[in-house]
Amino acid sequence: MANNDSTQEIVATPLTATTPAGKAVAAPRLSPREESWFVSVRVPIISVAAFLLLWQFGARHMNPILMPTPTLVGSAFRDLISRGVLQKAFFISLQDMSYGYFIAIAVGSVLGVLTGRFRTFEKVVSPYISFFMATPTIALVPLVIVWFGFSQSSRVFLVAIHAVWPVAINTAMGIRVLSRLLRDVGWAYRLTESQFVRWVALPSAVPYILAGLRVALGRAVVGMIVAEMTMELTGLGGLVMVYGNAFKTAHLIAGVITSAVFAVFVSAMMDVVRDRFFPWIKGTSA
Amino acid sequence: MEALIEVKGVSKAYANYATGRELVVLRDIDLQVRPNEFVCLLGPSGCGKTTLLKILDAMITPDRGEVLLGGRPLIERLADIGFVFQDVGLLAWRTVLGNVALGLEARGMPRRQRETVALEYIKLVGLEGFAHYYPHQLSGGMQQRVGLARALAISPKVLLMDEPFGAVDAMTRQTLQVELARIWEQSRATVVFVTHDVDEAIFLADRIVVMGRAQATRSVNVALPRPRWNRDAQSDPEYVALRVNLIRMLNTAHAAAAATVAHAAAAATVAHAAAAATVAQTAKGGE
Repeated sequence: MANNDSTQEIVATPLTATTPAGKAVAAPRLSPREESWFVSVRVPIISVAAFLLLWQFGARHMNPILMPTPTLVGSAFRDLISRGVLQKAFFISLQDMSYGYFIAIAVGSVLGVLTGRFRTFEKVVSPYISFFMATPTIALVPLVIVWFGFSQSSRVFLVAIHAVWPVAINTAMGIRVLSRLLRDVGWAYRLTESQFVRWVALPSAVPYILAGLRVALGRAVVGMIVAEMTMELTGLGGLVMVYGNAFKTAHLIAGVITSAVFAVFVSAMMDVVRDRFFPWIKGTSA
Repeated sequence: MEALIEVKGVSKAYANYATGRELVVLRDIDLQVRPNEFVCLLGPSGCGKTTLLKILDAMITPDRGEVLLGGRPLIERLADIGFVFQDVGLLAWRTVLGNVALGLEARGMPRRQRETVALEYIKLVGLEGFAHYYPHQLSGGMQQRVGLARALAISPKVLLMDEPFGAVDAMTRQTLQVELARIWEQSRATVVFVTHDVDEAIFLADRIVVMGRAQATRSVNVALPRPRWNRDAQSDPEYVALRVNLIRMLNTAHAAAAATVAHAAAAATVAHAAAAATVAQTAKGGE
C-alpha cells in the first residue's frame, strides 16, 4: 500500500516527477493570487476567532454586568431572536434609516445639482449648509420632537437632516469639476440645459455622488441610532438603550453587534446597486 | 463658387492675469471655405488653429469679426455643424450606440429611428458589432471612430475636426486617415480639419491653410489626384516638392510670428507701465 501511495503522489504531481531523483518534493507554492485570497479571507477569520477566544478566557471570572463572555452574548442573541425582539428592532431601524436616507438622496442631489450648476444659488444656500453641517444633529432632537412628536417622522427627519449634506456637497463638487471637454461636447451636440444636466453633468458626477452616498450612509446609520436612543426608544438604538438601562449587558452587546452588522449589510447592498447600475464606473479614472 | 463658410476679420485675445498682458491668439483672420471642400488648418501648437475651429462652432466667441455660414450668421446655422474632438469626449456612461445617437436624441428623434441611423454610421466607421460596448472597452483608435460616427450621424453640412488623430499611434492614424478620406468621398461634407502634421494635411486636404502665430499666412492648393492612398505618395516628386514648400512656409510663419509676438509683448509692457503710472498718479491725486 505504501508503494502504491507514493506512486499515486508522483502521478498526481507530474512536475515533481521530472525533478532530479532523490530530491524531496516541496510543498506546492501558492500563486500570488491564492496568497492574496488566503490573506484576505482566512486571516481575518482566524483573527476574529482568536479575539473571541481571548475575550472568553479574559471575561471568564468577571462580573457579567461589566463584561459578559461571548457565550453569554451568544445566549442573549438566541433569547432576542427567539422572542422576535431583534428582528423587529432590525426592521424598524431599516425603515427609519431607508426613509431618511432616500429623502436625503432626493433632497441632497437636487440641492447639489443647483448649487453645482448655478453660482448665485450656491451663494444663497451656502450659509445654511455651513450652519447645518456645523450643528450637532443631537442638539436638534428637542426641536424635532416639538415639530413631529414621538413618531417615526421624527426619526426619519433626523436621519435625513444628518445624511443630506454629504450628498449635496459631493454632487455639487462632481458637477463643478466637469471637464472643459464635456462642456464643449454638450455645446457641440446642442444639448439643452436640462439634457446637459441629465445626460452629461449628472452621470459624470456619479463617482463623486456615490462617494457622497457612502459617507451619507454612515451618517444615516448614526442619525438612526441617535434618533432611536433619544426619542421614543425603538429599533436597534432603543434596544441598546433599554438593555443598557436594565444592566443586561450581554443583550446590550448583542444589540451593538447587530447595529454594526446592520451597517455592513446596508453598505453591501449599496455596492450591489453600484455594480448593477453603473458598470462603466470601473473603466473611468474619476 | 460662392463660399459656404466665411470668416471675416476674426480676432481673439486672452487676458493673462499672471503677467497682466493680453495674449493675441488670432489677429484679423479671413478665411473662405467652399462647399464640399476639405480644408486643413496646418500650424504649430499654440498658433490658434484650435481656437479658430472652436469659433467656427460658436464654442468660443471672437472679440471682433464674424463668421457666416451659407451667408447667414453662424448662430442660426448651428444644427448644420458636426464637431470631432481631439480627446474624443465620449460619454463613458453611454454605449457606442448611445454616444453616436447623442445629437439625434438631443433633436428629439424617436428611439427606434435614431438607433437605426446610429447603427448605419457605426457600420460606416467600421465598428459593426460594437454598438453595445462601452467606450472604456474600446481602443483609442476605435473611440475616435465613434467620435467621427457621432459627428456624422447628425448629417452635418460642415464637419469640424480638431486634430482627431493626434492622440493615436502612427499605424492607427494612417488607417484612420484612409478611412476618413473614403468616408469623405462618399459624403462630400465640407470639412475643416486642424492638424500639425504636414503629411496628414497633404494626404487629406484640397487646400491647406498655413497658420503662424495668430495669423493665417498662406493658403496652398493640393492638386494631387484622389484617391490618394493608392499611390506611392511619399516618393511622388509633386508630393515631395509640396512637402518641402509647406515646411518652409511653416518655419517662416513661425519665425515671423515670434518676432511679432516679441514686438507686441514689448508694446504691451510699455502700455502696462504707462497705465501703472497713471494709476499711481490718480491715487496720489486722491490723497
